[in-house]
Amino acid sequence: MTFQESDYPNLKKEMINFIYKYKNPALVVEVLKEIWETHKQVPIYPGIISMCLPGMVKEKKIGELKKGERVFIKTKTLEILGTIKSKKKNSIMLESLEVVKRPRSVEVKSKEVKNILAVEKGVLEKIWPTLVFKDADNRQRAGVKVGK
Amino acid sequence: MEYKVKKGDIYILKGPGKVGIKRGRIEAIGKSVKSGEEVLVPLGKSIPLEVKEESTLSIEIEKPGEIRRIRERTIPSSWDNLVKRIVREKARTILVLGEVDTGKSFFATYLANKLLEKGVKPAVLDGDPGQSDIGIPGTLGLAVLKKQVVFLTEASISAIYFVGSHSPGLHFLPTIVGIKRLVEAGLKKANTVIINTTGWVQSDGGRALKRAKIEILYPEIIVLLQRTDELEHLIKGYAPKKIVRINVSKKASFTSAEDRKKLREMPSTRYFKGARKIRLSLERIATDRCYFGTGREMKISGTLYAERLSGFEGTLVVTKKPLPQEKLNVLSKKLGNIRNIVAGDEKGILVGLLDEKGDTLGMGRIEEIDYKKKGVLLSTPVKDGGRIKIIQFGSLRITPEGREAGFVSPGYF
Repeated sequence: MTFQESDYPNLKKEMINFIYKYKNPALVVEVLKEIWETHKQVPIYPGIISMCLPGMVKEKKIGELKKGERVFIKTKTLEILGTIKSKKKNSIMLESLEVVKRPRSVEVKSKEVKNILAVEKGVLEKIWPTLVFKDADNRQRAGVKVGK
Repeated sequence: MEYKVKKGDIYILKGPGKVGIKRGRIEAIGKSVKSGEEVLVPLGKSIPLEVKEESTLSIEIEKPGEIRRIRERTIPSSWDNLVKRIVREKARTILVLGEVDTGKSFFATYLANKLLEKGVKPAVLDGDPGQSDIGIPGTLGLAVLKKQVVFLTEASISAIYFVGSHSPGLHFLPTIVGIKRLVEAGLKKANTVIINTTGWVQSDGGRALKRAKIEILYPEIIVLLQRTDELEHLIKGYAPKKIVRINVSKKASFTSAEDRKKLREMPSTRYFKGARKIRLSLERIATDRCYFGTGREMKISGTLYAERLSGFEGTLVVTKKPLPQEKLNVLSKKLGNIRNIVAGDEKGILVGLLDEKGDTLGMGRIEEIDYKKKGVLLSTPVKDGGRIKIIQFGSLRITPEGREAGFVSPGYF
């Protein structure tokens, strides 16, 4: 065993957990911005940033919300990130919106495309092949549990 | 208020407060305080006063009740036994370990005072860059004691090492290097070096740091100031005869985060009180613990300054405002990774000032860097600016008065 000499690995783990938990890209970006702002305040304390991370999203009831708050709301059909512009008895008005719709499938017409970014897998192997250990036998003999 | 006290009485005084000895003699943290002398106890500190002769004391305290008589001595006999052992064995390096608020500084001071009493010349290494008793926050300090002190802040500094932050986290290497260098310096000037440490003893970071200190120093005696067994994981495998376990005094006081900050700022504000501004040429001195000033200068239009860094490190550019992403993308296609420093971000950074041998002369605060003329304006109490050959960048920002004002990300410069 050796020791982590920085709290950054833990912060990375917390961030990945957060991304998997909330999944919504707009909310993730919003929280990453908050993490970055916190980092700028205490760049030498990644452990404290990790401690702050769970508190960066708080579940609230509609009655508790205040004008100007940045909120993430899931409805039956939409996931909305927005800032509360005003409140009424049975509704709230949001502005500065990021809205995510999740249809099951969608047809994209070529002429409508502006640009495409493909998610590339296996980048590590391309740039640093010696760090990718594929030989299952060797890995097993080195004590790594290799799934079938 | 004047108090007549009897031989054998013991009092606890909570600072801030002042005790003057009108007549008689008392002992404070192992220091013999005689008639005509006084003891100043700062905010956040509590100390026992042991009356050695019938005495008259004048006591000034802010609140009533900040001085109280106690029945038993707070300093256990095991401390005195350790002093005898150090003298007997001529032990040269004593490493003191303990969690936060276990009285490590108190213990180190007592040990040093008692060693002096026995004719041993002690040095104390303050290995906590956060709660600096010797030096200022962001540094490690060494004091060779020639006379007894109540608080290590009273001791003259014999040597200093700049860590750059008030936490060893993300500054492990300077912390370890500094500890080693200062112990070596202390052993040249003193018979015994007492190495005081931070209270960070658990989790990956705490374990890594303390284990590294033990490995690099291989001290003759390790003192564990512990409540139960919270330090045992650090000394597994170490020769049992070198370990001294001391139960933490129940009177060891708790210091609040707010008081800690005030205590931390006191030496820093004191240090910068006599600072003056000096301008140094960056063509004459080297920069250290940073990228800035370590590459080959180049011209890039729209920048104040630029340099090509080593190998794959890319290019450092200094601009008036942060470069927009599009501009960064264009530059990085030609010049690799771009490190963008924004002019003005250097203001307030605490730096170490070293001479040509790499010894720390003192600390400074960057006022301004003139990137075009390659000059740096510093505030520092270091008198002879001509001796400064290296500026070491740190991660703390301070006000001109020496108060904490934030951080700069390690690696930014």
